[in-house]
Amino acid sequence: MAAGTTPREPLPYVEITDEDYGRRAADEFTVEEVHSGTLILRGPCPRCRASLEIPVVSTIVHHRSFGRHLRRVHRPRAADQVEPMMCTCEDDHPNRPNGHYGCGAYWTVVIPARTS
Amino acid sequence: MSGSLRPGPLPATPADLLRARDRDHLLRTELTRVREAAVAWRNGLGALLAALIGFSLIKGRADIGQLSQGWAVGVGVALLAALIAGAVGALLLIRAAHGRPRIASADTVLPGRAADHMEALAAATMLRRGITLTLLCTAFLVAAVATTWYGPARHRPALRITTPAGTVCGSVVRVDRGTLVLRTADGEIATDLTTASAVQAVETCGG
Repeated sequence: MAAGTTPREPLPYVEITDEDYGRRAADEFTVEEVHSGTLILRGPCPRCRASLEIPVVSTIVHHRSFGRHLRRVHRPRAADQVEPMMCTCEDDHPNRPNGHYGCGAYWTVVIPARTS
Repeated sequence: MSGSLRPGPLPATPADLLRARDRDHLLRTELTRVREAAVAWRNGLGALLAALIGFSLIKGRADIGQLSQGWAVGVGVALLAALIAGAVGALLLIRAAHGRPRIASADTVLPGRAADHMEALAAATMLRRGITLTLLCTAFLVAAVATTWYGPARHRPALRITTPAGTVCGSVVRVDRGTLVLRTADGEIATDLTTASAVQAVETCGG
């Protein structure tokens, strides 16, 4: 914190969306394919501005479909994918329920097929 | 790459929040769940094998030398396959449960959550292979023991009887009032034991 400035009050946790969130995320987030079927979306939360690093994966180990996963075959996405996203920061946001992450902001972005 | 994303076509809904939260939760707990599953499988399969072997729940002949040669070789191969499958399976289960220490270039290390996801996928694959190989080990063990039970014996006990009329060698068929009937290569032959000058147990009649 710079001298002479006052600490900013953390935004309270509110489950909220705004059409502008998707636009800002599309403009500010970067996409990196770290492995086949695994993308990392990086950028600031459109609401609280915390730095986010959100994995988007095509396969996942899931208890109910454990066997199916174990026989998994990588299925590349054929079309553009609408991805629901939310703030997952671990910053302090008052009123956040236990076990939750982020400031409560959520939005969607479209990941073009060529990057997914 | 930057600028490749587009805003969602429709306003986000609470259902989108639930999906995003569910996916985030699955990813955050993915590696822990795989590790826990691997530990449970490791302990369960280890206990199963220990019970089968340690408590002699499966036990065949003590000496497989009593089996005919081809079957004895088969038992040996099955036991070797069981050993290999069991050892590799155990290593894979331990790998899935605890990971593998690795020194990697700092430039190529994946970001934390992506690294955990990749490790979870790798661990799940190792877990599947470990389970398969451990069960295969059990199957080979059972096959080996069953072979020692039901495989044909190397040969039947034989007697060589020496009498004034000559020497007779064969497996015992019956004994009746001093007369011993042997099964020989020439068929059943009855020998009067009162005239025998020597009775010798032999492994084979040949030679």
